[in-house]
Amino acid sequence: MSEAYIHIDRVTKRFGAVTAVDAADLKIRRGEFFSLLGPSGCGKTTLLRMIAGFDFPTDGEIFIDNNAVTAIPPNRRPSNMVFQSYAIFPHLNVFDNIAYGLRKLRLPRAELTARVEEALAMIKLSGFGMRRADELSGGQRQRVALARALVRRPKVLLLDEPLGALDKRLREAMQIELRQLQKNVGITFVFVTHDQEEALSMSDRIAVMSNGKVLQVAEPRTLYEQPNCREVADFIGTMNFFEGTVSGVQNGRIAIDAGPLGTLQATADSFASGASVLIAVRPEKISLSLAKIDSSVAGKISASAYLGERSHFNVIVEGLQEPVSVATQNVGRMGSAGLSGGETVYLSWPAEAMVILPI
Amino acid sequence: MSARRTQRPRKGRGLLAYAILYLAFLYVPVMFLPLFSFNNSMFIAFPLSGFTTQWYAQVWVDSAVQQALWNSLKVGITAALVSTILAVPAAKALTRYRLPGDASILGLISLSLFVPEIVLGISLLILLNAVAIPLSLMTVVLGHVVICIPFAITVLMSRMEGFDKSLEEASLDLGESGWMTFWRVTFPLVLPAIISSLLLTFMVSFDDFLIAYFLAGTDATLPIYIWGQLRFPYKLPTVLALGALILMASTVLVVFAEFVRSHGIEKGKRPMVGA
Repeated sequence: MSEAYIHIDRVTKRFGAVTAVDAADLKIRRGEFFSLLGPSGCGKTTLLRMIAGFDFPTDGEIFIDNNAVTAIPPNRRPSNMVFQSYAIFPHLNVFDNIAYGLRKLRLPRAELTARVEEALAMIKLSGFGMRRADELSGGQRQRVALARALVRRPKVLLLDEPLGALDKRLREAMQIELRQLQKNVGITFVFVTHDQEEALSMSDRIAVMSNGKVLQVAEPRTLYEQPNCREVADFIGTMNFFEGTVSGVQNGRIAIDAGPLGTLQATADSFASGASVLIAVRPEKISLSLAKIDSSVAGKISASAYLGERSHFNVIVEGLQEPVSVATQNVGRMGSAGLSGGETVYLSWPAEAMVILPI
Repeated sequence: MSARRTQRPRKGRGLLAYAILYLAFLYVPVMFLPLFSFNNSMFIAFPLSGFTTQWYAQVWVDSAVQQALWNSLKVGITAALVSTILAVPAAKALTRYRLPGDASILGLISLSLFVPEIVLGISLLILLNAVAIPLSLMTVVLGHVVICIPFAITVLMSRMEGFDKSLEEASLDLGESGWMTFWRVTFPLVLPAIISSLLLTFMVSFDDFLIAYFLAGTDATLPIYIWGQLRFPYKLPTVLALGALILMASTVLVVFAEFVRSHGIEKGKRPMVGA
């Protein structure tokens, strides 16, 4: 139990006939930056709101620091939240916004001021205490919301897409700042986002959700390199999928008959001979050459896009329904400049680049 | 180019004339009231015979007018307070929670705006007779609360829908109870609408004749008193003076209500302070 600081114990939430969260089971560690990632409507915000206490599970229990909080209202939970809209009180200035949650603690005036000033310094907004909410920029509002939650020294900070409303450049700066802040304060962060790049770059671990279900919980690298199902592979980055049938199994290695791609050798266990499998390969793991090499597949370039540091190609392989997506790094000045469309190319990839998934 | 320039003012003149006629249609009839209230003749007819303030002096000293005015104020203030206080939790419930059948509740509330007041007045009278409650100013208040609540709920709901409900959630999240959240967040944010609602419902009550006519018993409110005075031709100029005073008071009230509303919106746009 000690490993799970927040324990979501088979939590289900139904709204009428709709199951928003379906038997979610998560163990979030102390001090972790944990992300809930998924497309909109996948149940990640509902799950966060249940941790905060705004929604109550239809079924299951939630524990924070080994205490059941399932039926406890939000004002008595050891968590604080940064809302998607930031929810800065428009009738209060910055100081009073941050001090809002301290009133109950009945601190002496001097200590209250000191704590608010400390919070203002933490978000680099010292001297902004008297500003009104509508005199702040989006990024400043986001920081005030953060300070207002952190000044209460919660055990858990919940963040509901806090960077969604910011423009790209500011968002990237805030990602780094937020991660740094989390390391400094050491508080457990639960972060909801639909932006997979954001989740990958910030999180210690990520739970990928879809249709109310938690599909995979893993570190960013594992999620990208070892997705456990097609949906996760598809949602995180770009992925090529090929269908195949296991034709032979031999001590941890399998041979897959992949139709137009020929017979592929892969490292995988727990597959029986004759099983249908899905072969997943990332575009950047595929190499592209003009000369035919061993165990390569011939194809024709149907589209190309030059993106500066890399180029993208769509390659049509006879017998495959979808074009194969290939990404190459433009290492040389000319990169893959010669290739624009119509050329015959040969695709190959190492065996360890393939992720074999059950269908 | 020059052809277009000469055309544009002509179009504008047409619209201006339309606007003037429109305003004249709305306000000229009302203006006869103050005009004749300063005319020193018993008869309401042109030509005007001379200027006088005697009708106003008569209003000033008429104890029956004062009693009626005082009754109307008491009824109006009580009805405004009761209906607004009752409407605040109703508006909050309708905007914040998923209630079973909230659409039909809302429909029923606005439907009562379309029930003819004469029907409502008779129904209330029958009801009060049935339960043997004697008619008084209190029964007028009761009737006015019934007609004021839809107005109050509409005004309050539009404001409550207008603000982010995560503000209230944020307050709960920051450790405040539901009750304190209402006082620290909801109330200050809804305050302009509460004031609007108080003014509007007061006006509805102050203005009402039909319900009061049925439910007033022996205490007359101002509209009932005026209605009673119309039987005496020599009292008419006094009634006009009284009407002019009411008109002035309502104008002040409307201007004040508009000021509160726009001030509520402007609030928070104070000049920059701090570093």
